Amino acid sequence: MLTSIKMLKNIIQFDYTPEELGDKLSMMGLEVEGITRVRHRFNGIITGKVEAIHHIANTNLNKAIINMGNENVQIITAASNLKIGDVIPVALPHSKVASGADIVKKDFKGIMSSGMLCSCSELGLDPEILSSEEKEGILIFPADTPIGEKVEDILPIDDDYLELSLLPDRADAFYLRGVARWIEIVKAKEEDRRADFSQLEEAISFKIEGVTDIPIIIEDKELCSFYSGRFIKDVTVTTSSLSLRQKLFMLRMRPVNNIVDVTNFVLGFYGQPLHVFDADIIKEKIYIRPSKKGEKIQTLDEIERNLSNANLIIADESGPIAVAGVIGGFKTAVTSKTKNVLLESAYFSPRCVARSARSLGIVTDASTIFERGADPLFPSKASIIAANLISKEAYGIPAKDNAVSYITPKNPVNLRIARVEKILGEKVERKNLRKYFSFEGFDFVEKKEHFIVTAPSFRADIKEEIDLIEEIVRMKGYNEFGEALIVGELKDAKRTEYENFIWDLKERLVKLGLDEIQTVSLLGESSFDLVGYTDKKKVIKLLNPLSTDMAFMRPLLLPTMLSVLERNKKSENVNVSIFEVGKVFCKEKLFKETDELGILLSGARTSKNYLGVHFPYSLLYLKGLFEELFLYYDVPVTFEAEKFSFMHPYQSAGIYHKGEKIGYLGTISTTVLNKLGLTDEVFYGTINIEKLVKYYGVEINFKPFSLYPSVKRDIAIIVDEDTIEKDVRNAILSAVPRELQKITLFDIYKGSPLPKEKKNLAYSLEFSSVNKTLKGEEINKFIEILEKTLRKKVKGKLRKE
Amino acid sequence: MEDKIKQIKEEFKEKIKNKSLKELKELETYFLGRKGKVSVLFQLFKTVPKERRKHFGAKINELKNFIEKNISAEIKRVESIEASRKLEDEKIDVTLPGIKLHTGGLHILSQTISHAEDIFLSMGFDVMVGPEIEEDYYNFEALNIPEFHPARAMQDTFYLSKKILLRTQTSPIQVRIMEKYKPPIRIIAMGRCYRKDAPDSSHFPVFHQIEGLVIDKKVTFANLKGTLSLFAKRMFGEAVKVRFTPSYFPFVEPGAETSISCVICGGKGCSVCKNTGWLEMGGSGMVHPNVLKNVGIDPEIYQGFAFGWGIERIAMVKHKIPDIRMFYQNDLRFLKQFRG
Ligand SMILES: [Zn+2]
Repeated sequence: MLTSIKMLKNIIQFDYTPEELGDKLSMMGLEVEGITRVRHRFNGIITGKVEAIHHIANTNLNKAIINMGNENVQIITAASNLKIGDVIPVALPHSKVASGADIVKKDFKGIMSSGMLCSCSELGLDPEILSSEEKEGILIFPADTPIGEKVEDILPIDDDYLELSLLPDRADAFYLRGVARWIEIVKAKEEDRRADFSQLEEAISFKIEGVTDIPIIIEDKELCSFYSGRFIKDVTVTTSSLSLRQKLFMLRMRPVNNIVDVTNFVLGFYGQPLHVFDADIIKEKIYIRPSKKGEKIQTLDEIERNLSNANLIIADESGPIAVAGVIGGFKTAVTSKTKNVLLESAYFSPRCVARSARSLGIVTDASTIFERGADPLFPSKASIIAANLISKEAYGIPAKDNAVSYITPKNPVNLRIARVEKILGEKVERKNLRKYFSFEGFDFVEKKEHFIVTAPSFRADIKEEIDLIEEIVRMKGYNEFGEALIVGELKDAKRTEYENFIWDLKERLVKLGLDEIQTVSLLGESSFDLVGYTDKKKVIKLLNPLSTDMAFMRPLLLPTMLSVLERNKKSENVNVSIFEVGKVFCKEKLFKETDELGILLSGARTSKNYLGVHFPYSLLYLKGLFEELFLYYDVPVTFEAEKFSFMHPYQSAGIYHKGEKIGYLGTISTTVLNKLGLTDEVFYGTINIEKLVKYYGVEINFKPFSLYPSVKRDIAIIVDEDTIEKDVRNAILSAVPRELQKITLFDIYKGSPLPKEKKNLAYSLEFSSVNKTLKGEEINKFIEILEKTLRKKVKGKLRKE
Repeated sequence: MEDKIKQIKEEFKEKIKNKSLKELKELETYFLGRKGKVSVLFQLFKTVPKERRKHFGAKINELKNFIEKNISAEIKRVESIEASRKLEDEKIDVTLPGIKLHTGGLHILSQTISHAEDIFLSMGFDVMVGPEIEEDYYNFEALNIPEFHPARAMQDTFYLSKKILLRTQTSPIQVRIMEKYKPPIRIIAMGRCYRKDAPDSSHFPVFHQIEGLVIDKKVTFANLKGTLSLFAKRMFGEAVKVRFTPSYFPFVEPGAETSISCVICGGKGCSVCKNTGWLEMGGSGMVHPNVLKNVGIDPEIYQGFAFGWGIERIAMVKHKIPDIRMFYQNDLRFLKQFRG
């Protein structure tokens, strides 16, 4: 929110620079995010009055005669919103408009124009705070604006604004007088005195006539504890006075008409949301009641809204006429035809307004204030202020208001002096407590061991003891308190076992040459299309996504990992070996999150180099990584050929642990790669790491190894081409005894001189015994048994050299 | 005979010049071999009169020794020359770049988390975790943020159902821990959080937080300041100062925004700290009595503090990373800069 320093200075005196003020308020808890400096950028533009308008035949131009006070000038303009008597900004020759352009005398086909008439854009005004009428045509000042004045003196353009952040617990930062109170507290603290907010009040005396006789019925005093209605008759709805519009300008509010402008001003300046109804449209009685199901209201923004019992409404006999504390109804809104109005000034409970505004999905200035707690004692005064202004601006005659009040005095809060030290870790002297409460304008009664404190009615945030302790810290200064380290029993601090496992796993993967990535756990429909993911029933959808490409919780790591690959390939990072340890989500009975590991490889382990040494990644390299991991945690797994929608049908496998599938790996299909515009092969594997955790941290026991020389024997086995290697290996393992220490497949061969549909697998076998040197005959015996087993189990033949 | 000896010696002197190793070996055979020039002299020796034999014998032996000595010296010399020439042929330009084998690394967020965990572990904090899909109760209600509280509207929340959401902060872990364990409690928790923030250089719908919670009988505001101050010094360097500014978080009171002195300009003011000299790191404060009551801890007996800082924010400040989106883009040119 922007708060005008010029306007603040009108009601409270201070000599701080905007920056100093910003710092002081921030250190007090009202965060100032910055200072906006606004300066007029035009030069020499002055006010003039339209004396005559002549249309120039066969053009869309008018010739206007403008009275500049000391002379009349003739100006050609295309504007269509001018009428005789309008006071307008005039840029005479030698002046400069906001864009920086110099104004010169111009010749329109023989007719001289001595300057130009200005719209808001020539003045460089912020279109945000202008009415739509003002945005389009020439800016027209109220009729009472003096002629020959500098425009920068009429429009309070030159100003510095504090950019205040919105506090969730305090409404008094949202309106100008509230900010002035913060400044008063800053001053009181600096001057070591009690804050005096009375200087910010003004005495008002005005004439009233008659009474407001419409009955007002509050159904639930918890939701609305005060409601005042006041008739104001014979109003003239028109443009506001220059002085009110100047004030609205400084409050960064858009002028609408004099009635609405008054209510906006009272809100922006005094912090009291008001509403004005066209009194002649209201039927008989005013009810403040929760809405009933099926009721509807067309609100001021002309949108028809369905109401529910979440909405407190103002209703008459015909139904809802306003949503209490949120927005008014269109039907009873003030228009240019309105003659008599009913002015509402009320206190609605914060929760009630918040719930109502949330249910309608709207936020208004009124709801922002009510939600944070308006001043429950102010509505009565606000009604007088507004009525007085309306009587001046719209010439209306106010009646005495009809107010229904259930306001109860605010309960004082007890502060135990001992409690202050207990919470803050530092004694605060009694005399300082007295001071701090005075700085804030709190009333208090001092007892032996406690203070009884009453905060002003606008301090809705002071409810309990801890709130007062915070006030003490704010007044003393957050940084005036000392620092101390925690005192307590020494205990062993640790990560959870699961977290230790995650770190261990990540470190292991890094040692295997992989880079960790972290991707967004949200993805879009297109990701499912990309990988042909069809199990959508289980996918969790956000009720209120930020965008369509982040509408679902990821059920697998692959899509976001692929986009990381895509990005890197585009940045010419050709060798990519990445992993992510992250959560995937699915909907079973409840929402479920599971930790998974994904590994993705593309390119080679080495960069292109002058030696021609190249180590391209492959499916079996990826498998090797997983095997290394399973070996590291000593997890028994098997890999079984299996097909997946996004994998090469003959280059993919499921990973099984004790019969349960815990993951899969494979070569990403070219269909997927083509969609991403990738040409290099990509390998991907994933496992549910929660299945591994029980293997983590198992103590490793020493196993004896042979101190005798080992015997190596190479064998070659001829089998059918489609025999899988796993079967051959298992056959070997089943045939030879535990003296077989190591088995290495070192060659696979097909082709001549082997018969067609045969292949040769060459293994190196290493035998050793813990207690003796193995003899040649013993090995020969093993090989004999092996030969028989191979013949039986895989129809294999040992090849004799 | 004498002439013959002289002649051979001269011949040898002549021939030994500028010979390769192979030629020297041949020369050795040529002179000293079984049929070599010196052997032939020994045969001629028989024809020499007996009284002269002793004289000539000595002469021939002298010649033989001369040749032997010289040739072996020459062989040694040439050998060493050839050996060094061979080494020279094997010369490698040591300025050639080494062959790079790709090595892996931890993501900078993991590195930052690990670093932060280690600091707090050394201060006696346990490290805990909690779910990313959270119940409204834990994320808001139990944290003194009832339904319709204005603080909720300011934290744009992703909902999965009416009462289930993606946690907007790590603070729900506080509640889960306090429900499960009795005080004294001294924990930190790290994790992913989600907010409906449109991505820009400092916002991203996914981010990480580090949450701290200490509950005991005598844990004070001074302890909060001391703990965060020590953490900041260990994370960013001894010179770093911590500043507390009043701020509102419904689950702590007194509540504070915690900033560190700008590590870029040292507090003098620069574009990163927007000329304030301070960088905001996150919220902190004394646990609100309502939060303690919600988990069945008596606020008259126990009290404590909590804080929540952004991990990305810590990493961005520590490593001067300009844009939060870089963490999630995972460009290897980014990741590889942080050798983890
Ligand atoms: Zn700086």
